[in-house]
Amino acid sequence: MQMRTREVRKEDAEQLLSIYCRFAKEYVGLASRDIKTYKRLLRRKENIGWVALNQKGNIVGYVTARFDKRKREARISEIVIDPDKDFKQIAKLLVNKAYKSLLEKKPAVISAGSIRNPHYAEIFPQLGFFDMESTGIFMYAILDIPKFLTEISPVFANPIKRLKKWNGLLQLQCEEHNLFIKKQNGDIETLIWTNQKPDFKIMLSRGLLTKLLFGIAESVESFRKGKLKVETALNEKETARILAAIFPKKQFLTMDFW
Amino acid sequence: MLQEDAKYVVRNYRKGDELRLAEIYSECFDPITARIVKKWHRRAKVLPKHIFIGEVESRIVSSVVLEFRKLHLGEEVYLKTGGVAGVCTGSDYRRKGVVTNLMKQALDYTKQSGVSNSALFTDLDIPAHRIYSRLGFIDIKNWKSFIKYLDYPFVFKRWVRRRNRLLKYAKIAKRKLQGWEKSVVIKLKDVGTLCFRFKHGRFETLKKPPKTPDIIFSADVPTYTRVSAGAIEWKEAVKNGKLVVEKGKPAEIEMLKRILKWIWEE
Repeated sequence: MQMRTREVRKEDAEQLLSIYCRFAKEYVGLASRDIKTYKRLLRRKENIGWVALNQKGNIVGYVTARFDKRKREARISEIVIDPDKDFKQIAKLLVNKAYKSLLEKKPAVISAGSIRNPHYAEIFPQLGFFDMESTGIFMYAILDIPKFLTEISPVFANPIKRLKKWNGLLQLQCEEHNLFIKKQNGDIETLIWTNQKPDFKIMLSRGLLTKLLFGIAESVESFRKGKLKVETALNEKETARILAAIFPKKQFLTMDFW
Repeated sequence: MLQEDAKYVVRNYRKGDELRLAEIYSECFDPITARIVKKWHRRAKVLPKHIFIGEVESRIVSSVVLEFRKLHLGEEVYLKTGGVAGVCTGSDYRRKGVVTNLMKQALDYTKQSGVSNSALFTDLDIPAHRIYSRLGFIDIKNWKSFIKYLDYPFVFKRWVRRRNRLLKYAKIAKRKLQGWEKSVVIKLKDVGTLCFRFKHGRFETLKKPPKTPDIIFSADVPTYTRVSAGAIEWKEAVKNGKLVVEKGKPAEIEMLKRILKWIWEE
């Protein structure tokens, strides 16, 4: 597909936000942003950016970078591409533009990343960058399990709704706290409590729940290793199918630091 | 632990605290001014009640800041999270449980405010990482950077200058470097020979190698960068043959490793 690129403009803020919101849905860990985030980004002189446009002239992706003149330090901050488009192809195009534009400013060092998008490994080494595993780490803690389970119930309810050939009561038990989700004829209902025997009961620790939500543990493997316990009349194959549907593989990504 | 009779108080931020906070931040992170501290609070919309101050004998010794954000957890669910930031303790008050107590207060406040979870960014090779793990934080992922140097001698000069800026506030480093007056020669593949020395309490870039340097080692730029950032251990790089020590006593090398990584606590 033919793509055009141009430098980012102040009036692009809304479109950039819209692309970011769609991009964020594909990952876990990304922070919500508002229009102010982008207006501030586009206002600052040290920031540069390039956008990719489709044939209709709509923005389908952007790259932002920052150059510190005094330190001669350049940083490619973030690459955000419409999830319906080919990330690698558009990102390469944009990164090349940003890279050339940064070179004109004579930086002593250019860095990219701080976030972990697996596609970066296919883009930056080709431009002569070397990779470095950082000691910086993101940590997460569930402080209030009952509240947390209630808040994230759609994260489990929606995949159960999409799950084919299964109806029944699901009980997710995390350290003595429960989440009940009932599926009947395709309809989903989250229950506060029930004395009914669940058709599928999952028991896990808060640590494992955190890891599964952020995609750093795998539900079926955890079940096989005994870290995640399941009580059900279903066979192992069916149990694995349901677990994989409830905890789909996710990709963690973070761009905003605090 | 703190002395039993020491008066320890946890309170929220008060106007004027930024001066002492800037001192502690400068010691723990990067040199920073009170003005920048205020600017950060304003920009991140941090309210005084979100800044927890630990005071021993009426002196601010520690601080924790909460920044509330919404994080995507899948299926378009954005959950409000208590982002923990700016966790610091003055070097004289470390390993006394001050920051653990402050963190507990901040997390209790987060929970009482109706926020069910918390998140933070930290480093794997600092003592604080153990504190966070004990408080229930789970390691999610460390990140990866891609780097390209275009003018390494310039970067090196800035790196040496930055050591001096950091040293100004680093009490432990000053103590440990006392009397350590050595010169270091680094032979970097594809870049050339770079040298620095530590003399009279200051780091200094040398234009040419001294006649009898105390430490000489060679490596390629990626290895040197990774070792300096703690991404790989010096020992491992030596074992793999990616870093070769031509001269240097073990004790001198140990100090050099601290200078490179800028980690001074045991």
